[in-house]
Amino acid sequence: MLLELKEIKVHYDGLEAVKGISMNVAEGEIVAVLGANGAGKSTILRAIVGLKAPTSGEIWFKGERIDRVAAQSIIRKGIALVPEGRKLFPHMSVHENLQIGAYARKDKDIAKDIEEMYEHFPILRERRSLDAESLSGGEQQMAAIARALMAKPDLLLLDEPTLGLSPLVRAEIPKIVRDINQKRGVSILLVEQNARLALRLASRAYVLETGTISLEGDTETLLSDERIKRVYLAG
Amino acid sequence: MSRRELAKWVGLPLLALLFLAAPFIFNDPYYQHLLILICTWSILALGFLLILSVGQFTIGHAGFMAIGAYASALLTTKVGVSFWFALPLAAVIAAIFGAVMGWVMLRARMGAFLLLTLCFAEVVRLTIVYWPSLLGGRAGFPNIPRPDAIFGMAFDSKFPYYYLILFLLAVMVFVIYRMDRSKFGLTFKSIAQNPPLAQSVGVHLMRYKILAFTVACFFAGAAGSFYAHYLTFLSPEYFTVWKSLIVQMYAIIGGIGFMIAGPIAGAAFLVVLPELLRATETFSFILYGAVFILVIFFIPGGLLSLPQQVGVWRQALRRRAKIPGGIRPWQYLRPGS
Amino acid sequence: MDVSLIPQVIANGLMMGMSYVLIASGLTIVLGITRIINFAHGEFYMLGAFCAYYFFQMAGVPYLVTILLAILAVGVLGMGVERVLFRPIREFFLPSVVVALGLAFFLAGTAAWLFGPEEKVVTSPFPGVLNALGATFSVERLVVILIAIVIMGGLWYLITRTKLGRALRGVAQDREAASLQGISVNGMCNISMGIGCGLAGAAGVLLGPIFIVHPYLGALAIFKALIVIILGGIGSMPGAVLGGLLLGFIESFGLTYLGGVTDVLLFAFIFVLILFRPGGLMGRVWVIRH
Ligand SMILES: Nc1ncnc2c1ncn2[C@@H]1O[C@H](COP(=O)(O)OP(=O)(O)O)[C@@H](O)[C@H]1O
Ligand SMILES: [Mg+2]
Repeated sequence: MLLELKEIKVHYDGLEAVKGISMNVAEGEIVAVLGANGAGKSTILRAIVGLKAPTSGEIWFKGERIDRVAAQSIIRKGIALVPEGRKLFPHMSVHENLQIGAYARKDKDIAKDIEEMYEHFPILRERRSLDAESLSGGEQQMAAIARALMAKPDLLLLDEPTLGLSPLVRAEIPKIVRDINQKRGVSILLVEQNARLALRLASRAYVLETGTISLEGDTETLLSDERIKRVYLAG
Repeated sequence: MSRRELAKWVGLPLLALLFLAAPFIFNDPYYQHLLILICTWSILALGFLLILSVGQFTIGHAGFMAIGAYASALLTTKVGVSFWFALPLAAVIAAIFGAVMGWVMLRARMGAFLLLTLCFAEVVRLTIVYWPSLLGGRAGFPNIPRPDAIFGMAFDSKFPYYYLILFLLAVMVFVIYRMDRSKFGLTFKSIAQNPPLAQSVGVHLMRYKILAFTVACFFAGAAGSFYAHYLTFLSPEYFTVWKSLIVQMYAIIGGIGFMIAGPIAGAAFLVVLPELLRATETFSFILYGAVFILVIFFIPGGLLSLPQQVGVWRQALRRRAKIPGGIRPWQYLRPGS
Repeated sequence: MDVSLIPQVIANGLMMGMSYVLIASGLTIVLGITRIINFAHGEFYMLGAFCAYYFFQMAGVPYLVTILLAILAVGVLGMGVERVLFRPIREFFLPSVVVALGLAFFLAGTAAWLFGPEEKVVTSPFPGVLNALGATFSVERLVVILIAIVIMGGLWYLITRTKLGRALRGVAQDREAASLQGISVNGMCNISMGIGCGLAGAAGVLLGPIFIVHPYLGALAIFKALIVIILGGIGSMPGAVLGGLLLGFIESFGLTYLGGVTDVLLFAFIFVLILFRPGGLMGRVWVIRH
């Protein structure tokens, strides 16, 4: 397994937000985590990247235990997070945001890789010298994904990449995610409220309800599950 | 009798007796001068803490004291009013300034509010400096009359001054106590700790904030008036931003979790400490600096939280745990609020 | 109004302005990145001025070397202070004010104890005057302006063009996002304090010979620096430059043509400015931090 969570619990001021969950991501896989607002999806991602220490449980990545590793060292282990709300550096240009994405890298190919990102996301080339805060939501999302990719991660964590995007732009996200997975061989843990979209992309999924996993399995199985259909795919 | 009742029925009267008897215990004009200073600065420190309890950090409180002081000095020397009218009048003038400025400034976030109070205090001080014809300017405001005798008590020793300022302090303590006990008390705490929540449960934030600010300024003005007639001389240098900052340290070092006792204990400690150690001016600087830093690091809840802090340490030792941060009443205060 | 004074007044304003810029930009970098109002910033400036006295005046170290030495010495001291005193309370507003203020008292008192409270005079490294435009300029002041411009240019390059500068700005703009990129927030706070205090030290050496050196110099310096960053916008580098130059010119022109009222008007203006534009004159054009 590339990433493995064992019985993870996370508390906010004594309030248990994640109540002992276990999940895993295999090499080359796309795994989705579904759940309503406040279910604890973001909290799990924050625990993985070290922004919020779990109160108990273990997190393993590439055979190494990482649940006590500081956030700033996680990226060097090969995990990059595209946070909820994108969290670009608002007063830096798009170009600088991409440069800073490669902060942890030591090699000399950074300029080349930025060029490649521009090939991949042509809109970013057009916006390259604009402040990140002046971009539209969709452009920001692409910039955030590109920034994360600049670190050359093995595992990419995406926190609600479609949140707040117009339907037209939202439709582009699946293709982007699949490309990253197939062309770059990056494994992906995708957190979404939009179950239809997530289940189309992922091979497996976990359904989260108030801090516990209520369902898990292959996407085909889940797609035919009555409860999933009723609660998450209705309308 | 429970511990609480014991404190209430025995401790409080004893403490009151101690305050009343203090000038007899320390029957020396210099010590009495220190006692008077402690009470004066306690009034300012209490005002600072009252404002802090609605979630705002002022660094210009001495400005309102200056308004009271100069108003009183002008009223008695230029208008010819008796001190006993000038003092309440000066307090009301300071309170009016406080209410108006509060109405203007309290809309700002904590960071901006801090800067606004700084600017206001500087405008007041610089107006004094650059208006020598009326306010004496840099050279100072001389010949402020002593208070007239009252109840057969002439103001020719430190005793009447001490009891006057003690009376003002007691009135302020009573007012704050009543505010703390009434439904205001809880409201204040919720405003400081969680403004959005306080707002959402329907607290009229602005009304409470302005009220707290006005009360604090009223007493700062009264203390200013007292100070003017006690020293019989005023200088703008008494009311710099640094003065405000030091006075506020009294409240923080005493303990901001102790609404009334904290500022008084802090003022007493920091006024007396350099005297106890017979510190020169230079050494007082070093001493104050060291005390500020050490208290924040080792007794973060302030001096009065020392008993609780010792408990925390003992518990940690027993469990062989890492010494924890301790009691930190300030952790809810954020500059953004 | 005496028009013939104008060149003189401009030169004075520029000199004062550039020194305010040096002091205030250090304060604003520390504030922008660590979010601590370093009330002891003026004391680091004071220590820089004492470097000028002890290294340049007493030991005869060359002027430019003294500047470098002061940047290094005061900067390293600042980093030590950040590590020991500021880091544990960085997230808390009230304690950070108390500790920074305590540090200011402590440093001023210690300097008075070690160096003596009396005023010290540093002889001008560049005596002599220059006659031009019908006015006299002191060479020393022109040199100060020049060196200040060079230092600010270097700082601008560091912040906007280097990887370190990007990391610093990243921490200032979004700490969590910065740590996700692998940037050490603690490290950047430490470096920012080194840079900020180094700048204060440099300002101390530059201004030591022009003004008088004494241990209680810091209070006025931090006060002016605060005004500058309020004017320009808190945490903004261009704001510090604009605010510093503006303050220099306002003081220079005001004191020549209006007198003391300038100060009153200045604070009244700043009051109104904060009310209506809490972001300062530069509004939202921040470099260091939003
Ligand atoms: N910083 C925080 N402090 C306190 N509680 C939080 C914090 N962040 C999240 N929570 C709580 O934890 C739970 C899970 O939140 P989150 O992980 O953000 O959910 P999701 O991403 O699934 O919407 C929620 O009940 C939320 O209120
Ligand atoms: Mg979320």
